[in-house]
Amino acid sequence: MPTVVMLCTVLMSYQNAGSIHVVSASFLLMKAMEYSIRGVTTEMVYVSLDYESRFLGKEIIGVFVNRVGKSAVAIGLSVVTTYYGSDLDLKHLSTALVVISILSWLLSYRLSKFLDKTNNNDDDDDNNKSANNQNATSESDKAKME
Amino acid sequence: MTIVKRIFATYYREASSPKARSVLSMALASAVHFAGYEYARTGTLTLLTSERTGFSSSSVVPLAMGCASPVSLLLLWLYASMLERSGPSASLRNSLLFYAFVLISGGLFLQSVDHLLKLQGIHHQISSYFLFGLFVLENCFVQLLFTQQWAFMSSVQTKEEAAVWFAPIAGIGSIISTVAAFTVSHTTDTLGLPSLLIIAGVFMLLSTYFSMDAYRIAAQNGFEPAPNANEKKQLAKNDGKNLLQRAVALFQRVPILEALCIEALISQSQSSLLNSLFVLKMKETIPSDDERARYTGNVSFFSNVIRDVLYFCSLCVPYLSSLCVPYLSDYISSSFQSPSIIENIRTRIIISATLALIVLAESSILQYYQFLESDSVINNSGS
Repeated sequence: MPTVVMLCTVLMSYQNAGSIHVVSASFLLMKAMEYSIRGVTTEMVYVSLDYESRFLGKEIIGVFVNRVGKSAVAIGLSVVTTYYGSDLDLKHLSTALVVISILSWLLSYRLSKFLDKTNNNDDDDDNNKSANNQNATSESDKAKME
Repeated sequence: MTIVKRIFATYYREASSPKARSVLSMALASAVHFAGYEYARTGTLTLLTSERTGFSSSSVVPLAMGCASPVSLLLLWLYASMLERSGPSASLRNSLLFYAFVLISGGLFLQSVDHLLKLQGIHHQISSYFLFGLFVLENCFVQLLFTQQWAFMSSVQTKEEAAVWFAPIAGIGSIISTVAAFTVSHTTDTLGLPSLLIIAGVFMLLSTYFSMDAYRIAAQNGFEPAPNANEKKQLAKNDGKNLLQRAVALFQRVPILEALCIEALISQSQSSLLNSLFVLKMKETIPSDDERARYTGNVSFFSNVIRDVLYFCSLCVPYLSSLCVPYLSDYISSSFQSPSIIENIRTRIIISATLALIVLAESSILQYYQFLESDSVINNSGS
């Protein structure tokens, strides 16, 4: 999902803020994926986390951090609009969007690496558990034999 | 027929297990909450921007949106202390009941003073400030409640179950809220705007019932979300810490959460910036207000369609595949032999691609069934 949005924003920037159709397509794709794929995958990340992360960490991110992200851009845009007024060039905005999109892609990649690592650890734990169970079973068999 | 029987058997077995019933109740609670939110949002926004009941200034909505951040911080603090004191079940129940109480009492107040509002006196002042506060609360509560309900579902499900069930659950919620949004205009015409708030409050009460039902089933069957011994020790370390200190300690302890937090911050900024760019570009390209509104409506409609298709595909794939695959296979085999249809290459490609997609999706779903069956075999042999 971040790759698709990043490619769209790069295309927009290449076309000097793009045509209305490119901007609309990017907006449409991002909104559709944000509410479906992103929502569900983010929920799945929390499944493997502990109680406090699921019930407190999730609320902090969902209720506060998301809002701060939106508000920060809104405040920044208000300042820029006040400063530039009607001379605001959309090309600069699309360049800023490309920078944020690349940053978002990198952060998503970092997050997926974290998840891979956690999944591997979980698998190792499961393997260790099953190995321990097998050892315990063979030891009890040996004891029975004796 | 074997596939159909197998799918129904799996769904039935799954739905009859306590865990599935509990998740289903919470999914229903979340869907009802979103249906209520549709009513509350429409009612509050219309009343707030109406000269008779709210404010005539166009800056009131951005101001209310700006107030949402500090209020959400306050709510978060209240929620964290309630979670520590009473646990997740009581926190969710209290949040939902408080929200339902505010909506119902506000709706009743606005309905009772409806004839006095024309005077622009004290009643008008009370109603406008109440609606401003309600609009801010709504913006904060929708996320607070949604997150609590999903926290329950992610607590009781395994990773494999979540991978299959989360998309359909979210899809059902999305479809129910879309249906609720369709009925809003008819309800407004029949019962009036303040009644939207009362109906939203009733929806919240229903959501409370389903949420508590989910927690009840979980408690009865021993899978209620609760900290284990290690997590309790970890939580005990937080005694005396404020919310900020707890958040910092939590993000330091769980690096994924910290990565999620930064990713969410940047991705929301990206979404907000793209939204603004879209609005500015539209303003620059389409000068007519009517044309612009139509264009925005079309983009929003297609966005919703893609979103619902993504959700709905995961819900219907088992049924579609079992129903369509035999017919499509017959049709393709006959079409390849028929000289009249063989010329229409595009039709063949579309049908073949559809079949391939359905078969691919079916194989992934069947893998899940096999996993469930092996799981049940293990459980049965264990017992």
